[in-house]
Amino acid sequence: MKIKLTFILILTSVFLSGCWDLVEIKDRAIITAFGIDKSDMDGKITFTLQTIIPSRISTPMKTSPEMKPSVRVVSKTTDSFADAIREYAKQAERRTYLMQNRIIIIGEDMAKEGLTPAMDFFMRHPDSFQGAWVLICKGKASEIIKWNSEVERIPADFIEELVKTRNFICSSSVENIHTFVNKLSTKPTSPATAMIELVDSGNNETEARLSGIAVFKKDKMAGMLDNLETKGYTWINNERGRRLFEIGDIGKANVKMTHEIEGSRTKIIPELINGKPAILIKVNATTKIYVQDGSLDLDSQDTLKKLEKMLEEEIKSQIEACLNKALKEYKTDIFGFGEKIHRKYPKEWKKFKVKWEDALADLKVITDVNVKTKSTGMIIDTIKP
Amino acid sequence: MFQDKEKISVNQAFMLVIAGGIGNIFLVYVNPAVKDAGRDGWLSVLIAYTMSTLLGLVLVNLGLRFPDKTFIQYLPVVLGKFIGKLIGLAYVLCWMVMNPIIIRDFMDLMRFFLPTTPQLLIGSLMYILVIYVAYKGFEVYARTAELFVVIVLFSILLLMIGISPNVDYGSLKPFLENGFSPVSKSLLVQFPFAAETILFMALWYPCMSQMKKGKKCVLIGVPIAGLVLVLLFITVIAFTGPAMAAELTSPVFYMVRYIHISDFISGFEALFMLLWVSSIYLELLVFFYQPLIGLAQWLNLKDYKPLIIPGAIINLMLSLIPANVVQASYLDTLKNPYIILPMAALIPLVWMVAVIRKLDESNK
Repeated sequence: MKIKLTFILILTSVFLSGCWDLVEIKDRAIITAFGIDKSDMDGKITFTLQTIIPSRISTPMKTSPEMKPSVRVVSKTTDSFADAIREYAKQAERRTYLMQNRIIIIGEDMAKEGLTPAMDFFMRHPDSFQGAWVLICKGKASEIIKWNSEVERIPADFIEELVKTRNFICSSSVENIHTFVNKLSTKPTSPATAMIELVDSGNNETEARLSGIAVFKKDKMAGMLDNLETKGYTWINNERGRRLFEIGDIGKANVKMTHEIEGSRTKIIPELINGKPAILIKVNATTKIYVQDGSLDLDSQDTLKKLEKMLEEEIKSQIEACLNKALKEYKTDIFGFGEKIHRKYPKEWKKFKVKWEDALADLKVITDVNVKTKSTGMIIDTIKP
Repeated sequence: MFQDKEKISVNQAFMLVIAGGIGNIFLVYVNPAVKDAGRDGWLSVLIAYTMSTLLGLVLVNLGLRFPDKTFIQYLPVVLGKFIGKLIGLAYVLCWMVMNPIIIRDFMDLMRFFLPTTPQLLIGSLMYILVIYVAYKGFEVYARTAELFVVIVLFSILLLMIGISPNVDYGSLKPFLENGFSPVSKSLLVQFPFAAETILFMALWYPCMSQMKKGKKCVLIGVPIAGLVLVLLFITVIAFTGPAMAAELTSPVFYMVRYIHISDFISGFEALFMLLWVSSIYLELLVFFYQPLIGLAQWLNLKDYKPLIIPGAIINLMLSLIPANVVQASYLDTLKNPYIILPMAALIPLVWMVAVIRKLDESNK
């Protein structure tokens, strides 16, 4: 009996280890960020891969004077995605491993050419993780991939944190591979994702930050939204994170105050008005007073009511700025309005869908913003001298 | 004969109905349903399993008339010796087509995980298990089904909960955009999936220790399988939308890989592996027993066991025939309307003949 059992155990260890496909972790080149640029050479694409150097990651952080970067960045100019991976593998003598890749940065030029081949690669490759964030960059993606963070050992981690913390400060709206392709596959909808750029932060240092949103028309980038319009987009796109919100004049001259949006919820309701499509955007937000300069009397209900009104107007103007840019200038449906109408009025949609993109400019959009100021923070009114 | 020696309990029979109803169907039914019926595919799945429940009731009634005979054995009694034997052979041959298709599905999807391991080796390892269980007898399979069905159901449920933060149920609207005809067209593929479990039951039903309870097993088991598949379809469509789901080789696998809960619970591939291999095991044996037992009974053999190894080898070789994954999945949908549907349609027909001829052996 025991001999039998031993025999079975040995046999299973032979069969279960998967010896053909065994790849030791030290033989893997773990890609952490993937950059795609249009090359200066005709028809070619430049790929920039950021891979981890395992030996430098595993040692604990020491305060050595010469800190070597823990990642290796390689740029290759090739015809296609498959070539890029192969060229890299040739040089690295390791098998590339895409599963840990969380950041995909695409150069503006490439995005304007169309992203269908890129998305095909990331959807088809068995190793690739569809939760990887898609970011568009001004200029060359390779520069951002090459950039070294002061905070994180792996620069891609820094960018990932940047994308994630947007949930707390809600500065932008980012799509990952899955949601990007999902929006592409839903016919009237076009995707829109955040842009990333390197800015000079003084002391000869640069830092990466999200700024603005790249607007697509089908799979081609049509343009971008500036900061004000981006704020509008985060409202429409129902990003629920906290964010700070400044308002200037409130009746009196030069009142400076900032609100913190504690929570918000946006509903997009499609309607038919006289047989024509219309969209009602309903925003409900609760705010907290973050800071004020002392010139307002917050004890009275009237002031708070007035403040809420002002905030509502401000949010409305942000949303309208975003709508104007996207619908009138770029003529693209990044908000999924068409799909919303399709879902609610399938019969009427058959008429609308033929000329949907032309109709976008004349689409009637009503915004209804409702702000409640719930709290004034730790103090009610400013403690005056 | 096979049913004299082996007896299965009511609980095991119930699990066998679910095993045949879910099997590895949950991996392959989404694509054809989306392609035919778009986002309304869940409706055709629902109708298919309702029809399958009715078919099951017909079979139970038919089986109760011949309590110690399997479907292959009472076909000649009902339809006359020559026609009965001929149709019986058709059944056996049709069932033989199924097993290679299933093992091929398994080998094709395994390519993602083990790209350089020879496909035939993966198939062979699976078949070693199948042959072992087949030699041990049907009771052993029924007992393993009792365990694995629970694992499969539980894992599917867990995956649906895991993906729930990322779904948008609005994708299921508009309901019946293009009318009912795409849904009814999709039934041609979906109903045979649902009927597989009943066709399987046609062979093991006489083994049940309390045959009267077969009705209850069908009435609960088939709807459970159907409901799980409907929910899974809804989850897949809510996650990917219909256009994307139609192009994914395995929407369920895609969904599993995406699950990341609060940044630290991820890597559900292992759970998927557990779910998937156990479901393939269930389904392989469902369609391994059928042709073997069917053939043994058609030839009036005393025992089906000598047929096990030749059957396994033939199945493995047949599975290598499709040239690529596109052809394999095409065959997968082609077999449904042309092979399983006529087989399923024959059950009510045989029942009607039996009723008209007033055939009943239950009092003997």
